[in-house]
Amino acid sequence: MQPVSINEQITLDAVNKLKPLREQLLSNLVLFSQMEAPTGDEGQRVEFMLERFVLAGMPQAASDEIGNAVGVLPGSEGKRDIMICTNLDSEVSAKTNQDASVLSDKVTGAGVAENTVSAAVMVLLPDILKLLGIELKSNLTLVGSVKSFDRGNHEGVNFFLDNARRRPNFGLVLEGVPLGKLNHFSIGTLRGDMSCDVNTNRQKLYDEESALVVLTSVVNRMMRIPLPRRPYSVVRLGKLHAGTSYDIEPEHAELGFEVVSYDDEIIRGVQEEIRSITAEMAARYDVDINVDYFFSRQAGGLEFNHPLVQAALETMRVLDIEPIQAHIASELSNFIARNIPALTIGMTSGRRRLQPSDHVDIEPIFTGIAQLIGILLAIDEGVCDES
Amino acid sequence: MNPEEWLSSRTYHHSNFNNIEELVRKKKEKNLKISLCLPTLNEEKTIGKVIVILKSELMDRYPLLDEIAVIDSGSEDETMKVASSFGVDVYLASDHLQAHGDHRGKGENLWKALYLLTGDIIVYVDSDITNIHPRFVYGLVGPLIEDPDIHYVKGFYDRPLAFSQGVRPTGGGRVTEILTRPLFSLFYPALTPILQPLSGEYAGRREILEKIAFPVGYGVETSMLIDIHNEMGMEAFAQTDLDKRVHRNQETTALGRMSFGILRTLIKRLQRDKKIELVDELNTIMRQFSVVDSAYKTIEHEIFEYERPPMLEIPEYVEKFKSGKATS
Repeated sequence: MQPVSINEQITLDAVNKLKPLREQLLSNLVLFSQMEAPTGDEGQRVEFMLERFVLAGMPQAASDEIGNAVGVLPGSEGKRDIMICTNLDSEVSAKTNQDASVLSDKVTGAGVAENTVSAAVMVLLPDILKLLGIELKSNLTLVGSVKSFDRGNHEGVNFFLDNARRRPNFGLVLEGVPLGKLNHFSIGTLRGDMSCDVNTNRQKLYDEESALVVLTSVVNRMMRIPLPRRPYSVVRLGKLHAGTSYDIEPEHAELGFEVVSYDDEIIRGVQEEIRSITAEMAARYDVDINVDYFFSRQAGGLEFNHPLVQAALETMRVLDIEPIQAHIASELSNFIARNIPALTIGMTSGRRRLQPSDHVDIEPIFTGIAQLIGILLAIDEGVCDES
Repeated sequence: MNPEEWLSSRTYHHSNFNNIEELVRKKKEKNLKISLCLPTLNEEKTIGKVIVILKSELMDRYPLLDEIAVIDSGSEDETMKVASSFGVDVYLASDHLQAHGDHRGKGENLWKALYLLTGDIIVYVDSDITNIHPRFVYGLVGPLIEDPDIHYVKGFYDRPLAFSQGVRPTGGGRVTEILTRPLFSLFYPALTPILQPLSGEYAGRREILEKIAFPVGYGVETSMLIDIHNEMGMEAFAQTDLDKRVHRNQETTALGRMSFGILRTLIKRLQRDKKIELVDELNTIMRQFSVVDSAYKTIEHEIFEYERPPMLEIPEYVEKFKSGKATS
């Protein structure tokens, strides 16, 4: 493994040099987090991000065809293209109060620990670079992506990557929490919505069960699908909806689930098992069971010894950040699928439960930004180029 | 200027002033200094947000405000600690002008702001607004920067930019509609076009604010309107629609005590302006009731509504602002 060197001094100095931007950063965070932005309806945040890009003096700032907010800061040489992105949609329920409070050491509120911190950092990035006296040689493209969650299926970032005039050489995906998050590998993921509907004109006189009971039987069978401990593989049941009252047996039930594994073959095997289980149950109980697989990601990513991963780890070491490696499905997989070296990093510590009690810590944000600067400079200097 | 003329010519929308760069240019051209006062009492949940948004947008990004000060009535929570951590001036009201005694209340903070802050224009914004936005400030100072004949601008809320039907009530708060508006209609009809006379967001020029008395409690908004009107007439006023304002709702009993204070302030002015004559002193005790174990219990609140004299009568103020010494 080749040792990588990063610009330690600039990275370390950034933590304190950026403090004058604290109020602007927190103001952006509060304003972003208080805007409702369900998947597919992120317009307010997009407009705000573009307005900030323009105020920051970005020469190119506009939304693309699908609605992503895009800003471009040309580099002095333009040899490399670096894309930084964060998603703008929110998973906070419309019924949840999204008011944020700024306390002396943290910001609280339902939307603050989503990627609103990274959006707040991203719109300040031109000012951050200016304050640190950094002029990048590489072109920098900032993308606030739309339609990420659930059935959005990362449509925004996919669209951009498919249609960008210049293909990025590197990608950095920013997430809110936790600081230390370092994803460089995307685990294979298959997500599906299963629905079970009782035939109202049942012909069978036995095994007549409600949709809820049938779906429970399907769940029990899914739990018995054999999975290896290595490579890591799991069937995760996330959502179950059925029924309206105590005394009426439901005729419709829904299950949301995902299958994740480092081996795409195992995922295909589980998918086949589920097809067989649902066919059997549908026949036994005379019900209709449909599965809609709406999200699929192949496993893959950067090796641990890739210079980009090593540069990120070295930056974290310099800043005394404990790396947390987790291979969840995120925008990262869209870069990986296109063979673009990319990482996901977190911006600060905090708690994310999509509830009003969520918070992010203020001081660590500056370490999070310094981490981003360290990695950006490493890419810009060519440290992360594959030989 | 009759009420209808005033209403149409002096009612603005905050969007009329959202070119902040242009406002800053005009402010500099006119050599104006603008101060923002945030009066607080136990506002730890909202004060941080109010400061970071207003400071970052209107001081750091655009230098519309020259100073921001929190003036606190003696919060028992973390209000002062939170405010201090975001680089604005924080004052405990009771620490200043001590020779003149100490009276706790929002009006006391607003009055002391005239002494502590140095702006030619003072903007007052309540600290409990959860949907705080820079419009709450630029919407108020805009008319004062642009029109030298305007001396005091009052905020009002919740009129959408587009409305599909012909008639839409403006809807002040409960105390406005039940108490203040009927009383203004009876005794000060010229002031009735002011849509939300009790709103906590307003801005004024120092030359007029230093000439008027400040009730220390609930009556300060009402007295300002009456006293500025007596000094300068309706021509001095403007009002700006600041759109929606979200803040914590007060219980009806709290509104009752507020109404008591407003009534004391207003009746005092009715006497002064020879509109009514009282044969006896006004009571200072507001009685409310609660039920404890099926028994009714009287709760007495003493609401005196002490009034601070015009700042121009305070020697320390005259020394600071009128003796030719530096004011910053």
